[in-house]
Amino acid sequence: MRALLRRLGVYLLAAWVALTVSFLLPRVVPGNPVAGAVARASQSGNCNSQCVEAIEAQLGFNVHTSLWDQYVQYWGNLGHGNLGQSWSENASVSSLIISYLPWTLGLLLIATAVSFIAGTAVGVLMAWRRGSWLDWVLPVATFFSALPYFFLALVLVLILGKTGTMLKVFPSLFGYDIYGVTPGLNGPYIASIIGHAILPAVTVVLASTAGFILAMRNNMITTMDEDFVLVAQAKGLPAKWVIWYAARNALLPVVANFTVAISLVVAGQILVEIVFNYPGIGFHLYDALGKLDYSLVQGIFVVITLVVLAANLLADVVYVLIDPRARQMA
Amino acid sequence: MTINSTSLTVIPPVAGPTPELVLRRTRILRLPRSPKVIAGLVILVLFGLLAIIGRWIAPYSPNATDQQHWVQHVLVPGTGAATGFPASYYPLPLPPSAAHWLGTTVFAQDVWSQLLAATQATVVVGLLAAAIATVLSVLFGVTAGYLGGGADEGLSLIANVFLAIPGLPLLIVLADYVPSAGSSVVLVASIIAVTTWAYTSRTLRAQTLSLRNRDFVEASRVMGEGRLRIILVEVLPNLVPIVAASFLFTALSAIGAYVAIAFLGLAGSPTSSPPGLWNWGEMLREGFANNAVRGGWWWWWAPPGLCIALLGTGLALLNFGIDEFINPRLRTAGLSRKTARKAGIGTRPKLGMTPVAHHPPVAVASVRTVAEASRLRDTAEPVLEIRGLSVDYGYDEEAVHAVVDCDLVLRRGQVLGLAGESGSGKTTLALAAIRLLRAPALISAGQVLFHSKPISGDGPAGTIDMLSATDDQLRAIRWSEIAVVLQSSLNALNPVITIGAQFDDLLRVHRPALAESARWARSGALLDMVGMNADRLRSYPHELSGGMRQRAMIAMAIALEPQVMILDEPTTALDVVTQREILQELIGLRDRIGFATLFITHDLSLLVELADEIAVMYAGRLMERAPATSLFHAPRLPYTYALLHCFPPMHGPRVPMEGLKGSPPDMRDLPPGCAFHPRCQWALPRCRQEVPRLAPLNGSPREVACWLHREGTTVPPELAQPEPASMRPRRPETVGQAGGT
Amino acid sequence: MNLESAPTPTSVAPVRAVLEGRGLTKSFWVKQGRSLLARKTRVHAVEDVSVRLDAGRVTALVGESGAGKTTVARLLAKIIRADAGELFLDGRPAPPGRPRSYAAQVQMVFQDPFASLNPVHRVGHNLVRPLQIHHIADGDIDATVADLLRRVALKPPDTFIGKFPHELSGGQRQRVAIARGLAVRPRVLIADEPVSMLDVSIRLGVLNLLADLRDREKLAILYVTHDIASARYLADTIVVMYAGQLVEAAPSVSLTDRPAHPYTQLLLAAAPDPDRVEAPALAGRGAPPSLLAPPSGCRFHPRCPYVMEICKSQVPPRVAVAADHSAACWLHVDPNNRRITVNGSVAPARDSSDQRNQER
Repeated sequence: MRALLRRLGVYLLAAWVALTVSFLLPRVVPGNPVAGAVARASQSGNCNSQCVEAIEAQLGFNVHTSLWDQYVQYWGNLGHGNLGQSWSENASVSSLIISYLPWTLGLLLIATAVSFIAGTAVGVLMAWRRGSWLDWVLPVATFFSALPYFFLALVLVLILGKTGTMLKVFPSLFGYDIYGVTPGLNGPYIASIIGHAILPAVTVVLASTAGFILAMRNNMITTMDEDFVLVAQAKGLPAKWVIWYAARNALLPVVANFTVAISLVVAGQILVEIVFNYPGIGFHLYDALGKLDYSLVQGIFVVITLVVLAANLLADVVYVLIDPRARQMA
Repeated sequence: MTINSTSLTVIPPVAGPTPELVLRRTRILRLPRSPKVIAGLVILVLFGLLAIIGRWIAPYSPNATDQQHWVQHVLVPGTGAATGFPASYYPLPLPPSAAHWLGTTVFAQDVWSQLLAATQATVVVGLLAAAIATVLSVLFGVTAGYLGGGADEGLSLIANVFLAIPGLPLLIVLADYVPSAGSSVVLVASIIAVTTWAYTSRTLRAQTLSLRNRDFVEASRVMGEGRLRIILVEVLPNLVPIVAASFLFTALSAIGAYVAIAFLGLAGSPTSSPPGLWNWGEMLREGFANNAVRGGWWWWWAPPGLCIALLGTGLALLNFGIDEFINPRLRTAGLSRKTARKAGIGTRPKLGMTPVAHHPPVAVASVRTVAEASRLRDTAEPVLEIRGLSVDYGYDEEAVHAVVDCDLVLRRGQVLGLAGESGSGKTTLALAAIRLLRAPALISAGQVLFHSKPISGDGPAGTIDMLSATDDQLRAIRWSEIAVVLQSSLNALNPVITIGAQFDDLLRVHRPALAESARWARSGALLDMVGMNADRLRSYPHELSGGMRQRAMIAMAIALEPQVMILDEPTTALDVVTQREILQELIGLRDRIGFATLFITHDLSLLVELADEIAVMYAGRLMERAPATSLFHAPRLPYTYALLHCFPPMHGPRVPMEGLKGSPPDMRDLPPGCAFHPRCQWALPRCRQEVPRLAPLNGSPREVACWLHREGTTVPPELAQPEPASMRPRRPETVGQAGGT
Repeated sequence: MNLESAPTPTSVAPVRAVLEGRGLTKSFWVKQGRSLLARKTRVHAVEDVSVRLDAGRVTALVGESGAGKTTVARLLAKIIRADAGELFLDGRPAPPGRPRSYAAQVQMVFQDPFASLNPVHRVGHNLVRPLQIHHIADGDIDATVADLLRRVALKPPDTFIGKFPHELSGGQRQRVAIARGLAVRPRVLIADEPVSMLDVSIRLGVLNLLADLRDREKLAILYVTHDIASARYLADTIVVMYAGQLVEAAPSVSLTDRPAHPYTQLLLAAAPDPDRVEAPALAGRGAPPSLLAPPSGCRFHPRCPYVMEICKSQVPPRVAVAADHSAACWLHVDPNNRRITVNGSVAPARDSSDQRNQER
């Protein structure tokens, strides 16, 4: 339990650092950020006086309390789940985020699960059948692992998307058909959600699977050289068992490094949502940035950070469950 | 941009002498010359070149609008005079042409010129960010790893916190609040570096930590070397491959991050004030914002995207090369069908079944004569016969001939010792017999016959040609009839499952009739036989001491009452007392079960006590074979003679001993003739030219491969001592019992 | 256990201890678990160990892994600092810390020649650095390096100077490591298992080199090993350690021929011996105790075949069993004096031959 508690401590500290940075930055950056923001806003022509006021409030401008008091108040608000008011949507940030989150989490969970399972499976297969045609997956996977998510999204829209120019198979805009169906527990709505999730999910899966493939292949090759795999073969165990033995051990470093993987997937998905106008937090982050809705930007940043930290904690728990050596330490 | 291969490969610290790894470390970093690395280098050089000269070869300014070629408006289909709708127009980007190699944007700007300008900014920002991040991670990682203690705790905590914070969202917030960031390469690069350094820092720390405790660092400290010099001169050069890999990985992430924030419009637009830089992300943003995808203007948005992917691939490929340098296991290629055909391997190569070249199945009818023709006086029945076995590592001309033309007969109930220095091929020979050698091993010639008479269970009986046996046949024989105990028991047990589960899988496969409770009871009884508590079934390997693990391994080996036990240095890693206990237990089990033992060790003094017969290997060949007492008291081979004189006696007066001169042979570059001749004090001219074959010595049940014992030469008196008068009694009842079971 | 107070035999020429450790004690704190708040437990690695190294003599430190022999070696080399006990160099207390003057006197050779030479540096670097650090051989570094290589029988030196460690065999590497130790012209060489990683065929060569350095250059050498046969071959004196404590010390032949401590007897019985006809009987099976919670009294008592009540509670004193031969065992204390618990009090030696006969 100790190791897990320690990890939890690190994550709490990380959350504190992230939130403090997002609080401090606008207040300590040299120059007048409000003026800069207003200048940019008026340049883009979508900031009215309400907007300027909101920016000022958000950035602590014209607020005549000390930085420390603002900071205490900031934490007080966070503690109550109060992330402020979005001027552009005229709603509380927390309620907005709650409405965005299911889209993002749904896509993220499904896509990550699929790419993790598919990626490790293909990686295992490649290590197992080294020297076969599967070796060709390696350069292809390398190429895909280097492809930016949003570029892949653009290509998929072009080829398969209804808003593209070629096959026009799958819907490629919004989270559901906003003109054709009414939200609620009805068949057409659910079917529409699934249809609209296909391309974004495929994008995330395609782009993130490659990384899991490469990592798993390398670990698997290294693990298969271990003596215990040789012993498993000497024991006359069926090939499938031997592979399972090696794979279980090879999986450990992949899970241990899930921290990096999940950060990258989340980052990628933010951009994918933007390309597809998918109504998750990534798209709304982009939207809020354009509208200079700093409350919303900050709120979304907080939530993404917490989601990633929670995913990390989950990965740590899984690691402790699958590695008895870590269990002893824990 | 996802996880790069290096990032997830945990680099195993180099433990002990791993000749393979050490051999390759000619220089600090030498990339293997594979197509992957070359392709990666070519891509990197290409982009580097474009980044440098792009400014001069660009035909236009990236911001200039081409008034001359600009087709200002295009009629929207379905509007205009004939349709009754008022004419409606939109600007149309031009497709690639001679004037514009990559066409134009919707603003009539030249895409090729933009791409060149963008390449420069993107590459510079990527490299700069990677450089800053690498410096940061080296500073943090190496300092934390080297200093250890509180400094390590603190610095690692900082790195872990940064690692946990999702990079891109933090980057977005940072970039958003620092509005001028987009216009400054240094600022953008610094912000990116802050969000990417932590991962490599963690890797470097772990590596430094393992280097810090390496003996060469300790040696420098004992020498009185200063701390800074130790870090810079002793530790850091060893980290170069990892720093290089980190740099490439960070460059990859940095480019991804830069492009991403530019795509979000946070890196400053070239048209805003202060003007941002043209980069690939900015090009994609403009294209995306202006419906380039829906308009089908692929020439606008595809090139920057492909550039990112291509440069990323180049970096990743290069990283592969470094990975393979750091971890040579990744380099050994699998056996492809083509190579297999070339090497003459008929069957499809399978994991865990060493391939065999050109192997005509042995006519089992002829087997009896083989056994009868055996020249050994001992008449016990053979159980494992190895004839003319050769094993190569590698499939082409550069293959190392690890075992050449070896004959060995193991008899029921017998302990056959196989002695030799490390690298002499003794393990290879033994594992080849059950085809357990891994790629790139290839059994290139010979026969292995297993005369099976199962002691218990329903394993296959009769003579089996191991080299043409099918997978199923081999699996049925393995462990059930021929069990193996390896040297390092820590690695021989699966670390993530309990000892009990590792007994259980065995019994489940080979004794399917046993119920689960019966399997558990049997496993407990087996542990009890080697002096362990049955509770240990619930333990994980790491919870046991080295001696306990080896005991558990032996208990596992006897679980199915095998006919043959291959023991590969089973006690070398253990202390003498534990070693003695385990050996005594093994002999007791042998007496009880009656298995034949192939005992592999470098410790000839141990074998003399333990074995009935000893075979000595040198440079992949069997050089002498004799009953243990004969070999000890009257060695015939100069090498055996010298080896026996390498063990100081435990009794009598202390006399200076010479040992063996010279070094063990390099298997890649063996001397011609007898491989031992450079170290042999009696070497004849003939020894330098002709390889001696193992041949019987007249009138004795022993064989030797040495020209000194051929007619026409005088045998040195040291090698002509009389045979010991009486052979040590060797538990005759055991042999009989084994033969009769 | 003060070995130095053992009577010096008159047959041996009077020798002066170059390096001496008295009452060395070291424990390590090991974290149970990885947390910041993890409980730390104490490992009693070495307790009250005294050894002396004389010029022109080899002292062997023998024991199983975990007996603390490497810790003693590292304490003597000042790689780690003792919790208690003192080091004396030429009879004077050694300077505190790890000054270069100490490094110039006491050098160390490590177990694994594959790990003790930096893979990225050539042989030359390994030998030049000590000369530079200690300002030896100003001006004529090349000649000094060549001379060093010749002294460890790496001839001709020119062919070795430019080589990387991976281009050398194990034996050659260990010779380079010894040459590096010799570069500062030390008077004490601490060799921690110098041959255990080498092939059998080349071990004797390295041992003979050490013997040569002892005889010709009058080096005081500590030879740490688990191989009692090689200790008998090389060393003048053998000191046996068990579970962090000294159990027996004697001239090497007398120790191996007439072991007085039950543990030494066990060690000798277990060692491979081709001349042996019968399988040895092991008196005292089992494993060394955990040093996290070592047994009370004599640490060998849970395994000892001759264990008595007193062994379980009282640490045995060091007793002279013969001239120059001492053992820490209650068996050798006169039954009338067994209640004496003052550490180091010498009781009349009991003839231990009946004891050994029982053992054989």
